[in-house]
Amino acid sequence: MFDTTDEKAITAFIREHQRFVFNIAFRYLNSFEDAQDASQDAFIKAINGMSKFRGDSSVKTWLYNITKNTCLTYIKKKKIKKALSFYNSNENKEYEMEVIDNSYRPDNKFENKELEAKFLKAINDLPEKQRETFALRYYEDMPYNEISKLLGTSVGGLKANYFQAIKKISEELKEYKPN
Amino acid sequence: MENLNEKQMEEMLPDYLFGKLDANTAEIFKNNLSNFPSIEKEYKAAKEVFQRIEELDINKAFDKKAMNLSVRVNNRLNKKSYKSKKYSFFGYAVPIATVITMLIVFFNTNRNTDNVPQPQVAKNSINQVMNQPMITVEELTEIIDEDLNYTDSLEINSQDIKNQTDELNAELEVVQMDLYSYDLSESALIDELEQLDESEFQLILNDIKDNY
Repeated sequence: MFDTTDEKAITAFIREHQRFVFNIAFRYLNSFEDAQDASQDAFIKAINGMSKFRGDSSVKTWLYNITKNTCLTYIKKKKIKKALSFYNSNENKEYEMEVIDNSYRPDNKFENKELEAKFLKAINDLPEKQRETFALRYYEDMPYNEISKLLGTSVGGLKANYFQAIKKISEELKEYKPN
Repeated sequence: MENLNEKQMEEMLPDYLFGKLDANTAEIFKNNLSNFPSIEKEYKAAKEVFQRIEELDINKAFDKKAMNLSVRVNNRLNKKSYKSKKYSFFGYAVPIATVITMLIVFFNTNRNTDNVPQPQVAKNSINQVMNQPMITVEELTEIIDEDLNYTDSLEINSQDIKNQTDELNAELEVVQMDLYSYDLSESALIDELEQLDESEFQLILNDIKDNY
């Protein structure tokens, strides 16, 4: 696809797909810090395995699978690490901490932060298929047929999942009215 | 007007909400919406919520978080590449240098290993080298043969020296015999000279003068 020793080509490739990869990683890991680490790992795997990419699927599909597998491995490692260190952190608290950390902000910005945190939590609470469908369609604007290949779900099933995801998120955030 | 069922309306709702339907399909959805009050309600609720969410510009926040990804990945790739180069250098150069050093230490210290105390490291190196199969059986046999030939040559030389010594001793005996015989002839000559008269003595002197 490109010369993997060419730093400029690598930079261009990452910039083109960084939001996509980061979004997927965030959906799985629910933490900006972990998503950054996992995104780096995913890109390194992709660049090192570039020669194996045959072009049978789109680059996004290929990157999605790499990122998903990287995140699943990351989650397993983290679980083992937690079990070994008796480290017990509630991932959802991260959002709450962000809200608290920004408590000095004016009310409007505070409310925005709170809404952002609740929105991300609402996505995270969705069943996996609904969450993935929502992320790929809402954030990445990916066509249904491509998502269908990625997730192995029919287009009709994806549309139903998408609707359910929107419905649940709306219910979770119904207290927030437009400004 | 095309009539849609509830399932079709549900499936279209998200894309209509985010403006992803083509104009014709969007028009059909809009015209059917009033026929499904529950879906219309869902639509209004979702519209309000996502209108607020769109204001947040979450993508901007994500972009900010993912901003330095290319730099970090390139740094990690460069570090990995440096490590592999470093490994390839140390992976080959260091063992080769170690073996050469061990051989130098071994050959330099092997000459005086009986008298000169060796540092422990050097001793270990020597032991390691000694444990290695350094030479083949054929080479060892050749070395032993050379040593035996050398020993034989030493024995021959000793014999030569002994023979020469014997010859010298024999020569010495001859010289000693000569000296002894000279002693005897000298005393006899003195006796004879005492018995000579003046005229005979003068003849001998003249004879000596003529010869020397």
